[in-house]
Amino acid sequence: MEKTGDQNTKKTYGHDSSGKEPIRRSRIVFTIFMVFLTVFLVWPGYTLFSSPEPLILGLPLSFAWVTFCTISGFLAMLLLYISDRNNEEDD
Amino acid sequence: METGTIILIIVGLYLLISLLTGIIPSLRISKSVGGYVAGDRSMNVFILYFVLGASIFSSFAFLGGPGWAYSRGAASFYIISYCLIGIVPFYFFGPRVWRLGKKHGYVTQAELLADRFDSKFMSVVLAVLSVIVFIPYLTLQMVGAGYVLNVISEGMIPYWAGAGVTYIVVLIYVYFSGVMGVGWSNAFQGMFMMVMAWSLGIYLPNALYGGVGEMFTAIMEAGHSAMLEAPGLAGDGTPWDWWGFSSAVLISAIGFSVWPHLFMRGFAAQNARSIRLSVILYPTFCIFLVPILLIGFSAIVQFPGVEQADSILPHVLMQIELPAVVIGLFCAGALAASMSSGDAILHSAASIGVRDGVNQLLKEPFNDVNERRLIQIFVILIGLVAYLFAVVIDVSIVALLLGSYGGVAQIFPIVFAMFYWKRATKAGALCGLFGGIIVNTFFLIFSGLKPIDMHEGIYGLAANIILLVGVSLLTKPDDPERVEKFSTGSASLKRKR
Repeated sequence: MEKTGDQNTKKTYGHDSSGKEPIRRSRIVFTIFMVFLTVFLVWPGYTLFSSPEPLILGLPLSFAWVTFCTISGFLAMLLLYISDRNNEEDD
Repeated sequence: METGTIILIIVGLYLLISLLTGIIPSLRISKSVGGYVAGDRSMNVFILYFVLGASIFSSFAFLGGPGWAYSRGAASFYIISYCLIGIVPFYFFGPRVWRLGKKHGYVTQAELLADRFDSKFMSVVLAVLSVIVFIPYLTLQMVGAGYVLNVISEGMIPYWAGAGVTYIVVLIYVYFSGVMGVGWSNAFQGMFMMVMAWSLGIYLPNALYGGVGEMFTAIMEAGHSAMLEAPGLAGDGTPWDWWGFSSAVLISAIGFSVWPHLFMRGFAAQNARSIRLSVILYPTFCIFLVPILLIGFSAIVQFPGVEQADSILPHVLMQIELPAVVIGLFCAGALAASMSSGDAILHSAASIGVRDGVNQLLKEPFNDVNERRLIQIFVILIGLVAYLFAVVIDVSIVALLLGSYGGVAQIFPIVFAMFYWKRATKAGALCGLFGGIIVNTFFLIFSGLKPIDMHEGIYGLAANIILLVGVSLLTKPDDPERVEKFSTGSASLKRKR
């Protein structure tokens, strides 16, 4: 979820759905990341982490994985927010 | 002092503080419908965060969460997953909703959709759908409150009285303060719940097993490994299948992101940034489900054989030696979970019922004063109906509630199309919404006919999307000027400035 560095992003404010201007890159990256995260919280991604063992920080793998995904999702949203803040004027 | 007296004093104090935090804000908002329904668009991040949080921290999470962990193990993780996924769309919808609301004066979800698709009929359909799904939801909150007080007081407080007293308090502050009363009391109740959940969730595994890791080891040694293996167990104790688990996560997340009461908080926000910030902070509430589930897991080995899984939390509390003050505080925490969802639902059901339902059916809409008065009357009426369901009529509320997510999820495609698909037409949207609701309801009633055992909402969504896209493409595009207003709502406001 890197910050979009190019100056063009400043102008794209609010036009992300109009089709006339490009969607901010950070939003695309974020959306792809969240789709991945979703796939790993349901079938088939979650099957890789569905076993009760090993225990991670006391939690079964299946539980620790969901917790880990929630924290990752939180961090991704935080980065998106920071990137949006940097690219937008106050609204 | 006797244990019972101490518990009652604490619960009484809690209810009093809730009442005060709920009533005081009414002094500051305007007496208009906008003030009552959308708080004059003045909610800051702090309040918004707790208001959004309260929508997941209901009796269902506080009592049902541990109940699921206790009886179905890893199946309960679905609540955490949908909490995280479900809030994400609101990051994108929320600021648009806010801007359009500020510019055109909308205060409910149906107003926005009915305007985009130029259909009063849609507004009425959405109002009916919302009220139908809200009433069992509210009833469930009342049942939770009545149940907790009854168990904790060891039968001293009858079930009907517990639910009644708690919801009189809710009724009073919702009646007088509208959404700001909901907001401030939710902030108080939310903080209270967080503290209670974390302290109990950490305390119980430590007190009963000597640690969280030790607890899970004990569960596995007792032969319950299958329970901890995702996706856990189904309701009948056999392993749940991935279809069921995955579709439950997806449909709940989709439904969650367009719940009318959550959605309309977008109108109450102070500015677009406060919506974004409260959405990104939301996963802190999802993490808070971890200790809630630990409470349920802690009972698997120590207290086997509890028939009614949802009662596991009060059951455990009564079994272990805890000071009366702690039990009293927990009791208040469970009430907070019930009330903080109940008040929001009550407020939204009344506002939506009047504004999007009754008002649309009249030839001449109400003036502001009468509309606000009617909403207040609806608050009382809906409260009474839900209470009646809670104490008199014996129906399976949980089944109704689980079914309701499938219905609510049918709103998602039209919300998405409103913002992101200009080609969507009135006919397409109405067909999609109707088709989705019909298919969902059909498979809810005749669940045996499902080709694959997925949540009925998924079938509804499939029909919904096919109809929305198909019929839209076959019909003439909607008035471009009107469509533009919604798909570039943010940009047009920007230009105006």
